[in-house]
Amino acid sequence: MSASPATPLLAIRSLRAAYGKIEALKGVDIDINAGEIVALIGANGAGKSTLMMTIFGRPRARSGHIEFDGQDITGVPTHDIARLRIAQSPEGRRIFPRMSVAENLQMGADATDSGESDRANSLERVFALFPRLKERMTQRGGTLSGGEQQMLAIGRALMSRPRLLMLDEPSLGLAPLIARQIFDAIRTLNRQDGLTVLIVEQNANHALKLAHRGYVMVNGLITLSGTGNELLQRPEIRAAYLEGGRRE
Amino acid sequence: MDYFAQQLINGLVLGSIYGLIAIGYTMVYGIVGMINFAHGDIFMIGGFIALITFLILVSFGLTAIPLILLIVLLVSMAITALYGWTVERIAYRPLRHSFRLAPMLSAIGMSFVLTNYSQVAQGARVKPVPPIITGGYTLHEGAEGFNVQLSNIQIIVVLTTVVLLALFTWLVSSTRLGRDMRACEQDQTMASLLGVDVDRTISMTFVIGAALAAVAGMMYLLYYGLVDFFMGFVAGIKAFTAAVLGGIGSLPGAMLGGLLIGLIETLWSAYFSVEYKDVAAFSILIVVLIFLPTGLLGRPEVEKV
Repeated sequence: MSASPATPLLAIRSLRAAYGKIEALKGVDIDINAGEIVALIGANGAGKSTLMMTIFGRPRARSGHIEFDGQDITGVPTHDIARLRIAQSPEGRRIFPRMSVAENLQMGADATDSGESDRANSLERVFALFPRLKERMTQRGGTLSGGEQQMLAIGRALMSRPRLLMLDEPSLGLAPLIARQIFDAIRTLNRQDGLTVLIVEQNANHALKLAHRGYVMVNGLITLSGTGNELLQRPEIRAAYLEGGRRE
Repeated sequence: MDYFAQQLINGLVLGSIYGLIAIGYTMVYGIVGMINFAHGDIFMIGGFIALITFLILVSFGLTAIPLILLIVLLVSMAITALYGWTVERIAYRPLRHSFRLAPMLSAIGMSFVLTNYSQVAQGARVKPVPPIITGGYTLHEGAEGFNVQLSNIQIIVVLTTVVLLALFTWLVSSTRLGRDMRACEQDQTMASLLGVDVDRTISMTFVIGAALAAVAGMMYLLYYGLVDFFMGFVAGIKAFTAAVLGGIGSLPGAMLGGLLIGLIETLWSAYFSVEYKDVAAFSILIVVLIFLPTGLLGRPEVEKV
């Protein structure tokens, strides 16, 4: 990594973004250091997914800055941001339903023009994490179960050998066992390969246990931040996100 | 029976030309969700460029017919593709995020522009060419003096179509560009998150569609021996009908629809009335839109998970 230890891999400063007249981000500051897992938690509609999409320029930031590895990417075209090896498994998974699993994964590899050997290595890594995908290679994406689609969305993101992996609600709608598999996979990737991860979750308990640090988002603003354990101990977090409250 | 066999051959040839044009409609619809009403005129432009290139080559004293045809094909595809690219760039791209009807209206406007531009630049009269490819085979000698003929030009039209379709199918199913095109068709936002330049991919779709229409224009010129500034209108709407019949958005559907429309039109002309052949084709359009809006190979509109 070319960034010096002092500068974060991703630095977001006073970021504002809106859909039409509705302001979704109202001045967000976030740092993600290389090798970290950072969790972003908050209720439905807090702006978590918007933040992930705004990093990719969809929607464009109204004001503020996004820096990746020291480079200002606030105004860079979406497809060029992907080429910097930032990958996202977005809200709703968004796999290509009429492409085979193999082609979906290939789309991820195409994002960074990886060579043949890189592609084979990435594929091995994805299969090691999600053996189920290997059995489904020729099947159309749209015919997979929800859990398999989630695996495919994460696998596709991994195919680009990302430097920053962003996961939007990777456990949403999954059986607890499969959700745990996915969280385990993320932890493995982080420990073995030093992969930097930003994970958005409503399942705050899981996410904060997994993450090194966390941010809490309310109505487009970061209201709290700290290490995963610190946040887990805070009474207001427990009340709002862990013990019933607004959890889904 | 001989008469019927002959009409089948004729219908197949006409259907190949419609099919090549229909692919352009269906590709553009698949990726940007609009009907490119200027596409028929792109076909007409392709015919004109083929004619002009042909005349230039002949005036240079070139006589080798296969060489001439190859050059005409390539030049016509290249220049017409440029037209397709330009039309998208100036008439559709600025309206991409406008209301849904806007690019459609712009397309109709663009169709008028191309028609009238050709009329002004090339004149209103029909431009004939002498038969370039002659000869053929007699497949069957009928008892009453009616012979089933297969002319060389018919063979060339069908063979060219088959080769182009094979190439095109390979492009869409097995190349990076084809994969990007299908990704944009299914989810443009996700495609861009994966590094696909959506604008460029859409441009390439117009370029490829126009190049195929140019081939259709050249085949039309060779087969009928004439072009005129208005030929894009009727042929365009027929090809559009073919795309709708096959299922708009479906590439095999476009080709199937093209063949069916070609056959229906030819058989109708042969057994009922030449004057009303367009009525037959367009009645199909109406019937399909009412009773089978997704076409033969189209997929149902609702497919969101």
